[in-house]
Amino acid sequence: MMDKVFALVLMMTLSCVAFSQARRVREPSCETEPPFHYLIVQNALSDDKRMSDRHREMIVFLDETAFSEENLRLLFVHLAMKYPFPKILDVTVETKWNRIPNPYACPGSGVAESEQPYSDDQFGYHWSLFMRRGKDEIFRYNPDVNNGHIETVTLAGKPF
Amino acid sequence: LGTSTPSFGYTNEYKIYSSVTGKEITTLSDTGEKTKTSVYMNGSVIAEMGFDPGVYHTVQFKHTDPVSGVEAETNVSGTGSNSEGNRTFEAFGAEIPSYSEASAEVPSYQHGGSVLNPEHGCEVNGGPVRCDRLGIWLSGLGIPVVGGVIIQETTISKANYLKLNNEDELANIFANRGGIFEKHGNEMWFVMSYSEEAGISAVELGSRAKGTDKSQASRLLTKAQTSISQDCINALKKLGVWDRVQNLLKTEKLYDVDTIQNEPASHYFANLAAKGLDVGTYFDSLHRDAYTVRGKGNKTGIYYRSSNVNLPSEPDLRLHETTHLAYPTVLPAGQTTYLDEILAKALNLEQQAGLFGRNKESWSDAVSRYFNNKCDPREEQGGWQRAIIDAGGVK
Repeated sequence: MMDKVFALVLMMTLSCVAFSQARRVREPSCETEPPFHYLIVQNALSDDKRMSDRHREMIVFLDETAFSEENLRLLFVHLAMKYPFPKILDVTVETKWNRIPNPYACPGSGVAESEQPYSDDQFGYHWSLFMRRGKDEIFRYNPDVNNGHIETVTLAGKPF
Repeated sequence: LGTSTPSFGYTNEYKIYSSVTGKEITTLSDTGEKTKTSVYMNGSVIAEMGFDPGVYHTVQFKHTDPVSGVEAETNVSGTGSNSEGNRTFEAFGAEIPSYSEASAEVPSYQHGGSVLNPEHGCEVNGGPVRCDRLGIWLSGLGIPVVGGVIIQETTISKANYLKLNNEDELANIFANRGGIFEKHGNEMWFVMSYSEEAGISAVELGSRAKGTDKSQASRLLTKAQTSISQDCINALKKLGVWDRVQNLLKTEKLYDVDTIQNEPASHYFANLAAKGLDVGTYFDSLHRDAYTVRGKGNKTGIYYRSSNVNLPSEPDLRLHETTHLAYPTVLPAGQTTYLDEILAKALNLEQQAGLFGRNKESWSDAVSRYFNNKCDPREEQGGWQRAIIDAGGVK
């Protein structure tokens, strides 16, 4: 009889431990879904052979009126939970329609000049960039479109 | 080269040869005293009598395996006459120590080297090589080596400054002289004169290296060729692309526009260049030192004119452009991405304000400033500000 009681207590203890551990795993839910409008316009994985080398690159179009540090926190926490793998995740947030790639199937190109000329088109809109590197999660954004100041917010782990 | 080589003293000695066998019988010192007499049997030395003047005489019997070349020495009591007891030689005559340590003392040039530490112990691609030979080899590659160190060519910039106190002074000097301005914190300075002089910096070659270790000399050579600062390595690791950058530095395609300038630009830049342009005309229209292109039918790589800039020996510029090939890893579909902008944001590079708050530098300028300053973290937010004003910069 005592053995059965002991086994029952042990099972209940283990269940509680397992339950508490499961609760610590971050998972997206309806509660974490951001209460504002956004569109994921790119969600791509790099084609590295090893999973550990892969990067996920996302582009999100965010309603300009929803652009705030608090909303960015909600958005990035939600996306980080929704896409836990791979460990390297970048999410670019744009608020200007002409900066959003069209849904082409064609590949894109990239150019970099050593001295790209100044352009007024580089200013006047909000942007943000979320970066996850393992356990470290940060995001950068420009709080004021009229100056070039960049704010960095650490969501998890160490700042970088 | 010579200064990296140990100096040696020389002592004369005299040898007496047998008129019958032609073999060396006795060795005399420079003062005429007998120092060694050899005993032969069937053409091989079987014993040596040593003379240490004024102290004692010794007799050593030598036993040589004619096939392997292994030598053993015993004294008159039949025991090993030295601490090693025998000597083994490798194919080229260098002595192989009988102990198993990974390093050995620096051997003498006069008596050949040890395979565990050939001469000074430099290596190339894992193979032992004398450091003075390595120096000659590096020199042949155009890398100057003097006194055992790799000499890197570099440029030392010098400028004389005039501090400007207000916008009127700036407008006045700009109207009358034009030129380059710099902003240091809240202060504005006009560059009165600017010059660049050739200079050198040195990277010391390893004087000794363990035989089983990776090539110290090769590491130093790599360091000299790339000169990637620790700040840059840290920054690229945080960005998650350091491994990619390292691989790209070995594999990336560098296009010298001087050699392809007459070819159609569309063969290299797809639809980035207008139809009918050749590579040289298109590249020159950009007015840039380097141009990195990726994806969508383009020939991915870094373009430059060797007549303008020697990209392979410009580590800051090359690392800048190579990082563009590594980040971002995936390009958005169907559009052209400006790689400087996305890299600057990821590296936390603010666009610095120009003089008196006018204009901002471009994203490309921000990234160039960062890499040209060896990824100094102070080049991120705040800190040192620099703006170069051209004719359109102040109105």
